[in-house]
Amino acid sequence: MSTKTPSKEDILRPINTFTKKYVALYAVATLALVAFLIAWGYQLQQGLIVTGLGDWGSGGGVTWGLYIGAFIWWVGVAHGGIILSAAVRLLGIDRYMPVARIAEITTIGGLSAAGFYILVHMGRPDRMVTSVLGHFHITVNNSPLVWDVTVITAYFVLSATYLGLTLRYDVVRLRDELPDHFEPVYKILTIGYTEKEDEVIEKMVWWLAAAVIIMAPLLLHGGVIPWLFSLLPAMPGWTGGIQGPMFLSIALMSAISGIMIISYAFRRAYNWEHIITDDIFRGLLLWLGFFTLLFLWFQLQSVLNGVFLGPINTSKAAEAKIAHPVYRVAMGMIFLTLVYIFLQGIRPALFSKTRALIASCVILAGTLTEKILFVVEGFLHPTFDIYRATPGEYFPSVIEFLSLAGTAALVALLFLNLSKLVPVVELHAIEHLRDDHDQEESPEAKPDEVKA
Amino acid sequence: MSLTATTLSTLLYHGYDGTGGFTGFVNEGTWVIFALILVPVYIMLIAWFVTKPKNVKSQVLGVTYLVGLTTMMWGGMFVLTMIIGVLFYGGLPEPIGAPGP
Repeated sequence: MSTKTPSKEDILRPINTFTKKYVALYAVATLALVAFLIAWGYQLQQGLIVTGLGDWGSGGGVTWGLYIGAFIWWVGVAHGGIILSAAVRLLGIDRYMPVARIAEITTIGGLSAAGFYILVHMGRPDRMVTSVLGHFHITVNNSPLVWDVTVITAYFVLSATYLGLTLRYDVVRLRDELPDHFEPVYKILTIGYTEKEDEVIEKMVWWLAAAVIIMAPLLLHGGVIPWLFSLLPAMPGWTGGIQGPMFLSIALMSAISGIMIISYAFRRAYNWEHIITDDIFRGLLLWLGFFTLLFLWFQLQSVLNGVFLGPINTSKAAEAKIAHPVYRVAMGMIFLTLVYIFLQGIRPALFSKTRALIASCVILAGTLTEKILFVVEGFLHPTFDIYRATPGEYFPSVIEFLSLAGTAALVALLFLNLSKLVPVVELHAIEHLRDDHDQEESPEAKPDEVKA
Repeated sequence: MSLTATTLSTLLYHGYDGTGGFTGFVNEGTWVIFALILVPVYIMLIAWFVTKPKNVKSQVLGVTYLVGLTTMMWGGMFVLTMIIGVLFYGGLPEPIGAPGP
């Protein structure tokens, strides 16, 4: 561990500094978002046909493509906040406390991007609210897409409430060092605050974390979304109970990778080596390895059930899946990353933050590719080859690729804006790290004590 | 059809209730979402109000966050979709605008 003692000034540094790099990153993110908004405007004007997704006759039968794949992927990324924050709060894994808030903001950013994708993929987005809410009692019963919207709303609202409630403690205690021009925001955030509430709020966020950890990963990403695909019985690539665990494992891989990349960026930008320590990256990398192992196991189960004397439709879909070069590259990248994680686990000298960063980027690229392929291939290999006569071949359009850049920029802008408003590392984390630091320096501290 | 049934049909399905037995409210899907998926949220809300320590102000604050954020989210989306309707689809969507041909 670093000899530097974590302080309030450390976590306030993003708020009280304004660098050229920050401005450059802000400009790039804004440009990417604006480029996508212009492209989306064109799509709205001309119709979904400009992506080829609105037309049954030009993409070989593929009417869901990158948009839906990226939607699933972003919901997956969003799970990072929940798993990490909940692990810190529910299980007392204090080791990850310094990245808990970064993870929570990732959840909110990921869900915003996912929600945006629903709107972007709709043929008539103007009817989104009136058709869903106007007939909610009917649509919620017969459309799993409405379950999706309902659960994502609940997930977003619970996560934002969680963030809002936990920020009160920090903002009140750091108010004197926070910029005055955001005074109205801080007043709203801390409305009615009294010290007596700390204990009650702590209990409330514990229950919030408990509710979200059960609802979001197990019933949303490991439930509603895979169920939604399974409801289309003509697509053997989408059915089967394994899809729930598969979706959840891939979500957790993407989430942990996302948190590692964002944490790395903050650590580098604000010299937080003593706050977001190497130890955190090592721990996250091991968790990434664990979920990657599970994911590859589920993939094996799924493929083997098809290719080894499976029913004809499942067999055809599985054979086509493993024959696709992009699938092979994605699985190969994921497998090699797992090998690296395993090796650095048994030989710690192989660990470095840069390698951890590369591993995270590879996993993110691999999971995104797998999710898009999952969606596209489902359409390409249906039962009875029902789209055999459908001409064309699906390849994502420029607008779809721009949507990836645009949603990534949206999440980056959320971080860039929030980091100027509130601390992205909890004050509790600093207090906790200082306690650890004091214990290490005191002569009574046992040298062989191991942290949880 | 009795008066109650007619009123219910008009209220729930605007008179079009031919598939009500399968797709209508209440049915399997309604149970899955409200009696299974959202159960953790109900448990959380009950726990906020019955477990100790309690503080009415904090409980109200928590509920205000939940209701306020949901309203802001869907209110914002409503405004955005109305703008999209006017700019790209020639007017406000049904039932706010005129029904189509």
